[in-house]
Amino acid sequence: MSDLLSVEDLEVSIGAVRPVRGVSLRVAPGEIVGVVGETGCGKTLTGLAVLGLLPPGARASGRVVLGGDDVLGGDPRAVRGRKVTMVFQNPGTAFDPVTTIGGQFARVLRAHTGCSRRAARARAAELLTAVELPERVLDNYPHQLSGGMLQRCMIALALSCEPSLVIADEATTALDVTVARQILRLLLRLQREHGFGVMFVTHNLAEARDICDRVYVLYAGRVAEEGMAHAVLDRPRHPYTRALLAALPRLDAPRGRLASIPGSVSHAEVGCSFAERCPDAKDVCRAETPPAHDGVACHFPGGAP
Amino acid sequence: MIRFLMRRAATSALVLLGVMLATFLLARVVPASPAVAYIGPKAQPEDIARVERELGLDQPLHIQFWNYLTDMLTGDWGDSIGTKQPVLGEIGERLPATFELLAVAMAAAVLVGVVLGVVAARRKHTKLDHLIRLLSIGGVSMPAFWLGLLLQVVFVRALGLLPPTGRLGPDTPFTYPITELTGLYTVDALLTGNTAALGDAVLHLILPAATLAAYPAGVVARMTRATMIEMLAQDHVRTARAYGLSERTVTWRVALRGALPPVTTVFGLTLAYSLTGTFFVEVVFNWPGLGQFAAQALLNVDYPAIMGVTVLGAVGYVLVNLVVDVVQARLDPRVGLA
Ligand SMILES: Nc1ncnc2c1ncn2[C@@H]1O[C@H](COP(=O)(O)OP(=O)(O)O)[C@@H](O)[C@H]1O
Ligand SMILES: [Mg+2]
Repeated sequence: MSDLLSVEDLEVSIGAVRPVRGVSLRVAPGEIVGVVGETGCGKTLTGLAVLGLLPPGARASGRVVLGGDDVLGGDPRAVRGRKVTMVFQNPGTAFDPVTTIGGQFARVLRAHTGCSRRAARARAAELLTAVELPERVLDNYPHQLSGGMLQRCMIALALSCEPSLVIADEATTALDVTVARQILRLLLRLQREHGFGVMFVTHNLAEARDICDRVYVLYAGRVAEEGMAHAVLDRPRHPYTRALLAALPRLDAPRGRLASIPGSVSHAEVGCSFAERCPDAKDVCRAETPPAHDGVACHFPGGAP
Repeated sequence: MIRFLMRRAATSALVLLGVMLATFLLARVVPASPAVAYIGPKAQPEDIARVERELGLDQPLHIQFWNYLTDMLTGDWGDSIGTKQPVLGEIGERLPATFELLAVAMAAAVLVGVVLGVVAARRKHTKLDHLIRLLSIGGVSMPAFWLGLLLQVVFVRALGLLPPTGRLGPDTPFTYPITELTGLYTVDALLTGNTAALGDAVLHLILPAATLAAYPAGVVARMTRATMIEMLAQDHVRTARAYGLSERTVTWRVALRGALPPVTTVFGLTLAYSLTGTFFVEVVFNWPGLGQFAAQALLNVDYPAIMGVTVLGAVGYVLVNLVVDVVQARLDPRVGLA
């Protein structure tokens, strides 16, 4: 099957820092693809690059092709809000605080379809019904709604564009657990109904395992490991993925001990970026950047000999 | 909303009472005798005593203030010492001229200031941004009377493009007389289809309005630029872009809409300054409005006129603030009217 999204060797640099250093990933039509990793590993920037919406001062290289359109080389507005949209991390700040929800829907709908104000409102009400919100929410301002309701609105707004790809950037991180569950279930239901592809960005491995077909594990701006979600998250081969999974708090773990990964992210130019924190690191790990092989960028996948 | 208006009406009444007390006391403690001013320099002691009795100046101060208050409230603002006419009538005659000048100047200031501010924010750190900064600093720092004279020298003397002073050319009242409906010449001429007079009135408005608009336009431009830069970096603006809105919509509809509340606040603050500005501008441009009337009254130690204009200014100031607060609440739903 041809790819819906194909990112090849994406690099993003902002000033002297290079937060994304050669990410390649693919999303097939209707596929849910997880992008996981610690905070700061470049997940959001990767998502924004797909929208052609990098922060000012950021430079990107590589190739981003979405449904046949070259995003980095061409005009990103050809795809934004049409082929791809993003559900943002902080519903509280992602909406315009001085415009009603209905007004914000109308702005987007009318920009795409040029429809009348009344038609836009009717369509917006339909979309809200699809995310299980009452029509009166259209007359509310963002500050009058809870985070969960706002995130439903955001998903409805995403639907309004009839996208083929939805990037959900930590869409549930700012919500409490039960609400997060509801939002996830909603996203899954809509994904089944509409068949769009999802790039599911999260640092929550449990969520990723629950809903993704495939995952990419990012570390320091590179793909450390990729593969089927269950394969990667149940039988991790990269020491970083293993460490991430070990750091998950577990209810059945002995009390009083929380595992964490020692050290902090290094951005060494040569060698494996995880070498400093890796329990199995050898000399070669610090000297040579490991090439990706069979979905793992590690000199000793599956543990040291 | 109703409760807000009632509470504001009460505080406004207190403010006005304070202003009236202050003007009243000032008028009474300033050494020049109002009676002498009323009669003229050759006043005899018995005339002065008689006039003081007539004007109630021999009563105790609190009685005088009470009389002053009740007179003001019943529309008796006293007679101008200069023109011997009722002050309220004199004010009413001149108010439309000042109002027209102020309204045109403030509308121009908001329009120009906002557009310059938005453009500067979009093109920040370019030559255009620096040019706009220079213009707005100039507008803010140039005194009105000086800017007025400068504009006259350039546009009247040197270029001969615009008429020097007044509300109309010397012939217009005879060749194309304006039927007074509102006293706002542009509006009246427009309503009666008097295009010749309309053109003349507009030409006469340009320079004084520009002079008066310079300060608030500069302030608004600076504020708009700063707020827009902040707005354009906000999450919800990124959302707007992510959902495919054009850069034009993002700038002028989304970001500017969010920038308006703080800009409104700042503009409201400059309005008070502009009220005083009319004073100089009307003198420089021989504009037959309240500012000129007040200047004349000051020179003549014309107490009833001075007090009348001061109280009217205070009323205007209070009203403007009220309007700004209501507009503010309409622009930002998170601001309650409390
Ligand atoms: N606007 C920006 N300016 C400078 N640095 C940035 C900016 N946005 C992100 N970065 C840097 O890029 C790195 C990756 O950011 P991001 O993609 O947001 O990480 P993630 O979403 O995985 O938490 C961060 O460590 C941050 O330092
Ligand atoms: Mg992020």
